[in-house]
Amino acid sequence: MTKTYDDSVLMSVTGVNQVFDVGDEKVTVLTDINFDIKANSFNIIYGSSGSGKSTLLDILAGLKAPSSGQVIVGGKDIYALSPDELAAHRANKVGFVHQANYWIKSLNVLDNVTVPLFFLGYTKKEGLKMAMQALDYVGMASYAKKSPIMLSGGEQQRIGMARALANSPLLIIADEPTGNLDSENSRNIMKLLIDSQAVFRRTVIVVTHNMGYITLADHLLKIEDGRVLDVAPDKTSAQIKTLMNEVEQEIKQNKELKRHATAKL
Amino acid sequence: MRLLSFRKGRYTAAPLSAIFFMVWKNMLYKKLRTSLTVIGIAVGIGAIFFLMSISLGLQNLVSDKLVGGNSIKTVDITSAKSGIVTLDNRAANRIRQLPNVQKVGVLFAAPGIIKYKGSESSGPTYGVDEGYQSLSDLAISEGRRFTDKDSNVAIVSTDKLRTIGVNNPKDIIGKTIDLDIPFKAADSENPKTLKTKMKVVGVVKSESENIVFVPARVFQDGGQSKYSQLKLAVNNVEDIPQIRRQIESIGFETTSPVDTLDQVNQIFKYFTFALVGFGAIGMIVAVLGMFNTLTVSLLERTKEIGLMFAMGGRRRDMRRIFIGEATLLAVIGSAIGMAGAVLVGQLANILLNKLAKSRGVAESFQLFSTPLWLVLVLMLLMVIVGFLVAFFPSRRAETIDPTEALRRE
Repeated sequence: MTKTYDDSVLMSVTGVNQVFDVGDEKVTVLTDINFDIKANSFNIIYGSSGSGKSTLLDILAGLKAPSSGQVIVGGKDIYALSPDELAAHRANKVGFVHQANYWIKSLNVLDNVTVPLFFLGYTKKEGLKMAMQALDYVGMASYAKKSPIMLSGGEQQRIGMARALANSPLLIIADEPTGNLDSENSRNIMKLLIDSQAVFRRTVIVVTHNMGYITLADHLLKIEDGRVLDVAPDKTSAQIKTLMNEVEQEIKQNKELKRHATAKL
Repeated sequence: MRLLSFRKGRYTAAPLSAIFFMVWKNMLYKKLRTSLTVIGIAVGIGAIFFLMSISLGLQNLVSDKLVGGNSIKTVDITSAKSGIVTLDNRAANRIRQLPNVQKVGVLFAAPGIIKYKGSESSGPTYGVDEGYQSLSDLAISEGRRFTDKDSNVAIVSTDKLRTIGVNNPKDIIGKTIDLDIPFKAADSENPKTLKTKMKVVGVVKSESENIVFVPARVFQDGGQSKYSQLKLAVNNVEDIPQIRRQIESIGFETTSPVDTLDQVNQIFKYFTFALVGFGAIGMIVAVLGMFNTLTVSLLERTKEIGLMFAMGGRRRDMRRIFIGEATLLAVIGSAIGMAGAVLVGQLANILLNKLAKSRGVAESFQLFSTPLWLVLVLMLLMVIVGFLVAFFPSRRAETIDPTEALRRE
C-alpha cells in the first residue's frame, strides 16, 4: 500500500506491533498502532501503568525496533536504516527527557550536557560552549561544574531538559518528565516543554499521568492495553472539555470509593 | 541564540579528543581501581623491561670485553695449519688488492727476553707496523705508538714492566732496554738470536699480558719474511663474509670479532628468552588485572552506555571508549613501569660499580642497557595487548540494548 506523506507530518506510525519473549511465552505489548505526529505540535500520550507507553516512546525515539510496522520520519522508515544511520537520526533529530535521571557519573553537569554534541562531531570546545547555552536557557548555568547526582530531582530534570535541547532536535520526547517532581518543579519543566513547541517550533511528545496537563495538548493519544486511541487528533476544545469532564468524574468516583473504604474502617 | 535554532543536520564520528576526554574523566572517577590497574601494568612491564635491560647490558659488557679494542670491521689472517701457503709479503700485497679492503697491518711474533737494570723477563715479542697498531687499537697509557720510520724503539705492557721491577710506567719512558729475540733462520732449524737495545717510547695497559712490541722492520731486518698474522680492515661489516671467503680460498685461515659476537649474541638470545619468560608471569597478571578492570567497568557502566546510545552514540563510539581506556591504561602503566625500571637499574648500577671498585676493579661498567627501541617495542606491545584485552568488553558494549540498559536496576 502506498501512502502519501504530508509535509506537515513529522512522524507517521503505521501498523506497529511489539511482542516480547518472556520465558517461553510471547507477550504482546503494542497492537496495530497507527497515528501521525504533526510537525510543531504538542502531543500527550496518557494511559495507565503497564499499558505500553514507555515501549511506544522507545519505538518513536528510535531506540527499540518494533516487531512489525513502520515509523516514518522524513519519508523514511527509521528502522530500515543501518545502525549507524539510526544513531545519526537519534543524534540529530531526537532529544529524550527521561523520567529517571540518567547521568555519566564521572562527568559534571556541563560535560553531561555536552555528550550528545560529541556524538554530532563537535569538539570539546564547541560542545562546551553550546552546552553552556543550553544550561543557561534552563536556568542551570551556575550548576555547570557540579556533579549532577548531588543535585535535587527538580534540578536534575532541568539539566536533563538542557541535555535534550542541546543538539537542537526536531522532536523532543519526554517520558513522564514530572513524575518524580513537586508541583513547582513540574510547572518549570512543563513550561520548558511548552516553550520548545510554542516559541522554538519543535515537536513535543510527552507521556504523563498528570491529567491536568492534557489541556496543553494539540494531540492526545490514549493508550490502553497496548492499543492507541487517537482521542483528539486536533486541538478541539470540545473534545478536551469532554475528556476533562470524564477525568473529573473518575476522580470524584475514586474519592467516593476511598471515603467508603475509610468509613468501613 | 544557537540553541534551538534550526540547523543543518550534522553527524560525524565523535572526535578522538572527546573520546579521550570521557575516558580520562572515567579513569579519574575510579581512582583506586585505575591506580591498581596501572600499578599492575607498571610492575609487569617494568619487570620485563628491567630483565631485558640486564640481558642487553650484560651482552654489551661481554661483547666489549671479548672484542676488546678491535674494530668489528677487522679480520685476522693466519697461515693454515698445513703451512702450504706462506703468509709473506706477496700474500699481504695480494690481500691488499682485494676489493673493499681498507687497510692491512702485519704482525711478526717470536719469544724474547728483556733485560733492564739487572732484571730479566721472557715473553712474547711482537713486530708490528703502524697499520696493525691502529687496527688493534693499542691502548697506550704512557708515551706514544711508534711509526714505520722508527727503529730500535719498543712498547711494553704494564705487566711486563712489573716483571722487571718497574712499577711506575712513566719511569720507563725514554729508557733503553736490552732485548734478545731468537729468530728462526729460513734455511736452518737453529735460531739466530738478535741482541739489540731498544728505547721504550710507550707503555700499553695490560694486566695479564707480558708482551713487548717492536717495529716490524726489526723482524724484517733480521731476515724474517713470514708473518704470524695479518689484520685487515674493511669498509663495511657486511663485506666481511665475502672477503673471508676470498682469503680462505687462497689457503689462509681467518677469524673476526664478528665470530665472537655471533656466539655471544646466540647465547644471550636464549638468556633473554629465559628472562622474558620470568617477566611474562608479571605481564600475565597485569593483563588479567586490565581485563578485570574493563569488564567491571562495562558492568558498572551498562546504563551509561545505554544512555550514550540513546543520545546518538554509535557502536563505534562505544568501542573506541573501551579501547581508549585500555590504551590509556597501557600507555600510562608502561611509561611508569619503564621509568621505574630505569631508576632501579641506575641505582643498582651505581651500587654494583661501588662494590666492584671496593674490590679493586678500576674500570667502571654499565650493567643495564635501555635503548630507545626497547622502550618503543615494549610500549607498542602493551598497546597491542591493550587492544586485545579491550576486544571482548568493547564488543559487549557495542551490542548493549539501550532500552534494557536504561531500565536495568
